[in-house]
Amino acid sequence: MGDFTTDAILLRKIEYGDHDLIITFLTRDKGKICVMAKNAKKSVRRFSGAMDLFSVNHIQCAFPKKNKEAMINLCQTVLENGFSHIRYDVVNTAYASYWTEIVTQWLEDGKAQPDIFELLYTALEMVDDGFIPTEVISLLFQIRFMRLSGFSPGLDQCDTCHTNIEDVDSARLWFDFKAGRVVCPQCKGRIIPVQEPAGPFGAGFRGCWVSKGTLKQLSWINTVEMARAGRIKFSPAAIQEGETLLESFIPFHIGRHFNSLKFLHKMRSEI
Amino acid sequence: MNHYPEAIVRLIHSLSTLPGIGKKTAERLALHILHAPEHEAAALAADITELKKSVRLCASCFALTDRETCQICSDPGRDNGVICVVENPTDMAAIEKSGAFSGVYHILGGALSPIDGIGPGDIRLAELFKRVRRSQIREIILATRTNVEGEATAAYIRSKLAATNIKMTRIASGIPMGGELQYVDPLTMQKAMEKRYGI
Repeated sequence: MGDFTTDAILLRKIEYGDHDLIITFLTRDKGKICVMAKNAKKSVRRFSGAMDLFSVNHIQCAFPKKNKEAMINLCQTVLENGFSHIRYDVVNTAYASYWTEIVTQWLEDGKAQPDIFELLYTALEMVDDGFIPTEVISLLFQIRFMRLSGFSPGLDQCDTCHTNIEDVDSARLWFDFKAGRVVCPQCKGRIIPVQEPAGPFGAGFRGCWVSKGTLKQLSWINTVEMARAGRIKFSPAAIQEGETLLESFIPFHIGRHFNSLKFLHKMRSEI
Repeated sequence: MNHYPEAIVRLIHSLSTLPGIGKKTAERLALHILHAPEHEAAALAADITELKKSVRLCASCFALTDRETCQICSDPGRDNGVICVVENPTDMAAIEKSGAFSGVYHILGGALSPIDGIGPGDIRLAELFKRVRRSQIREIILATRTNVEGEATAAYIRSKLAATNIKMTRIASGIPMGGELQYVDPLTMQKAMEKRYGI
């Protein structure tokens, strides 16, 4: 196997020794890969300004020649988009970190997922442009990420009685994390106790209540094309409900706690 | 390593735990110490012991010092009204080497990093805000690094101190002296063009 070139978003970097970096990229053609960037901390010519989080680079890599088990070597990078506006806002940085952490934790190494590459790239571009509130972009990213990963939440009808949410005689429905679907209040009362233990960030451990309006908006941004999805206006209450739902549902399914999500919640409460 | 006496093996092991020192270098250093005059080896051991015993953090700026307050904080010639916020003592040393700053420092001991779970409570931000409340500060220079973590830290400090009337400045980014333009990355070039000055 020889060298390869591809576009890549930098997800994570870890210092290795005095001069090297181990970098996790989400590439357009090869999915998530981990590479060794030798002498990256010193080399201005090969890695000039390109070794920063979220940056999109055109990278050139080489497979190890002798030891096949060794890491892929990063030979050169050309910075294509550094998203200069994300870094000057700590809340935007927290959101971008959360998305990259989801991608890092969820994706298998070496399995190409160009749709997820495009989704992350577009979400970062949208934040950098600054026309759409980052909270809305985050809802858009999370719900579409789950759909592309095969865990699209069911928001249109009750999971048990299959009644369309439009026809449910209640302003709010229960979203069940395990099922990944909404349940109408009547069915919820029949299958699980009404009293739920408190979970993190305003949600229960098993699910949370969400208004019909928010469910409809989330459903719409999940299916409409990306360029139009950003135009929808979410009320502050809808944003909060959407965040509670998705920021509880994703960690529930991935089965781990996200450092950047905890950081994001702290920033939201402070700034 | 079985061919060496236990004392040498132990020293090789200890030296190889230092950054950038592998087993071979550790072996060479251990044999060098063995062959060095006794007073030199004793001085090296004493220096290491003394370093651990006497070096601590400055009570005011958190720089490394062997006194209660560091040399810079206790220097009457320094301007206490201007604080330069840096991530690490090495960053402070780099600014001091330039001789371009005559104020005092505040060393955070790191930068905010959402992915690594390093939040405001994990670096010395509360100490900075306390210092700002207690002292008559005219200007804060944010000299955290220009990577994502450094910029996020600078943005956080700026937002927390926005309500005060303290002048907040950020160190400039641009073309390094003697640098070749063709190797400058687009972000640095963008900053350099934005912050160009008249001559």
